[in-house]
Amino acid sequence: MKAKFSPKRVWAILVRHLFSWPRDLESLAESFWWPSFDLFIWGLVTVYLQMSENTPSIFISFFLGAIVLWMFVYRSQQEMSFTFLKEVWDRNILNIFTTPLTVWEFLSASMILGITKLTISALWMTFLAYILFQFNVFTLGFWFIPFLLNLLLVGWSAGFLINGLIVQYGWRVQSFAWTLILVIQPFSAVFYPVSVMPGWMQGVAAVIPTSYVFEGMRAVLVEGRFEVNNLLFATGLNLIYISLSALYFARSFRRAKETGMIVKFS
Amino acid sequence: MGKTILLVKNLVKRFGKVKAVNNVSFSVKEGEIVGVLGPNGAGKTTTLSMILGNITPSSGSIQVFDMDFEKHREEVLQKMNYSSAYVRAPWRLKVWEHLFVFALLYQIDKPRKRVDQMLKVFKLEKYNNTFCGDLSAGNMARLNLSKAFINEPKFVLLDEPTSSLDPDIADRVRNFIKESRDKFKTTILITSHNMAEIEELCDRVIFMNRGKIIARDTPEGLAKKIKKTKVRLMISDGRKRTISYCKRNNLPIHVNDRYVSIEVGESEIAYLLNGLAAAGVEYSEISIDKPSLEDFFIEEVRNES
Repeated sequence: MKAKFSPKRVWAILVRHLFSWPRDLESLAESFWWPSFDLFIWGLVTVYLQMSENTPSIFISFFLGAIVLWMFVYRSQQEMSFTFLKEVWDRNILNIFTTPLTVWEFLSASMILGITKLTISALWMTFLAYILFQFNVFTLGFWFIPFLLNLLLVGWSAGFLINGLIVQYGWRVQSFAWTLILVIQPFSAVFYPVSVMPGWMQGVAAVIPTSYVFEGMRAVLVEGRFEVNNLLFATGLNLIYISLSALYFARSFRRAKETGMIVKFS
Repeated sequence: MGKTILLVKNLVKRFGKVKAVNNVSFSVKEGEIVGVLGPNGAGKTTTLSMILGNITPSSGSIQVFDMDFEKHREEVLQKMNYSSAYVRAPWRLKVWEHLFVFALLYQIDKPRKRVDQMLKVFKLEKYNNTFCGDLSAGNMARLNLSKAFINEPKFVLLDEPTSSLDPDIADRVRNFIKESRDKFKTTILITSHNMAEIEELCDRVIFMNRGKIIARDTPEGLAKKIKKTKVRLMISDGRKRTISYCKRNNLPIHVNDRYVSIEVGESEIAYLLNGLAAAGVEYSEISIDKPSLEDFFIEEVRNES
């Protein structure tokens, strides 16, 4: 019999995390402090660079836009991994998985929680960027939204992969939740275009969806031109990666039940 | 006795080359309290985890409420619950919030009202707004039990439910478990290292060792398998004569200062006391300890090792 997806159980997990979020200093720091810190440092660097006559005036938009958008990738991934890890750290994982809650309901709650927190963080960052550096993220226009959704998909694909690794290999790989996503950052063309990368890096960038998103963002900002190909490539790659990573997670979870790893988390 | 709530058939779990659970079969009827006993590493937790769906069996089948667990997981778990001394609650949640989340997970009508009921039953009202992380071990155990009964389950698995509780609270919990069985016909599968508790609570006991069920009976039935009774005497005169009498008659004797403890069959107690009197032994205190579940446990585990 196929399990019925229950939005009420998804809501229960959301409530659990929304109760604890305001009391969780680490989580608040992840949502507000570190992104603000990044924005402030990079903002000042770009202000300094702009003092040079040779620096294009659009430079500040590159950097601040990149910082705000990159936050969508790593925060959506982290939120997905941390929602799971918090249950492990609280030794609550057996409690929740001995209820009718399914793992897909749990992951759906993680994704919704990620979007909720991200929206709040992004609004805060947008406000800060505007107040401190007069940078308006919305200058990217409505094309900002599909790019943003693609970045969320990248974060979720990485989240599925990392959660899969954690349930398969246990505690020893939990640091992937903080670090693994950074592996793709140099290839993502976040702060520089793909064209400045060495040939082998360009090869890697070609299969990384974020590179198309950031290239697309630059095209909108510099030339005011929206390249639909960038969006199509990013979306296509994302659909492949999210399917593969979700399958990997499902396999790892099944395997963790076979090896008894789930019980060891308590 | 009522219908079968749990039916475990030929359950096997292998971890690599190790057979943690080896061809285990048993059933639990509605309203029964069944204890699963055994030394550490016997396979109890693995068996419980398989019943809860957290470990996939290598082979065999588990049916709960006449449904195949694998195929009807959500339906089965909706009517089940679980508590273990080894799980905790999120330390940043308040006690009522933790229970409220589970009331939502089980889709209980009027969840807040149910939370208040459980807080009252387990005497946790004054900790309503306390963070779970600030609870003592005893209160955490009570919170776990409140969670285990929040959905008015028909079948509950309790892993060491009263460990770390003081005698008063442990007694309340035992009474609640019995009450729950009597009032709501709740079926309970329980593990504990507290033999007196198992004797008090359980209708039947399944004894596991090295992944296998090696005995199953009522607690009294298992205790009766130990044929020896311990006769404990405080010797006032004739300690050496007592020791030599026991040696002559091949009776195991443990000497501790003025106290001696002699193992003897129940029907041979009168002969022992007559023999000691004939040898001129005088004693000022006597107690006769009938074999208990604990004696069975110790003997089985020592025989196996």
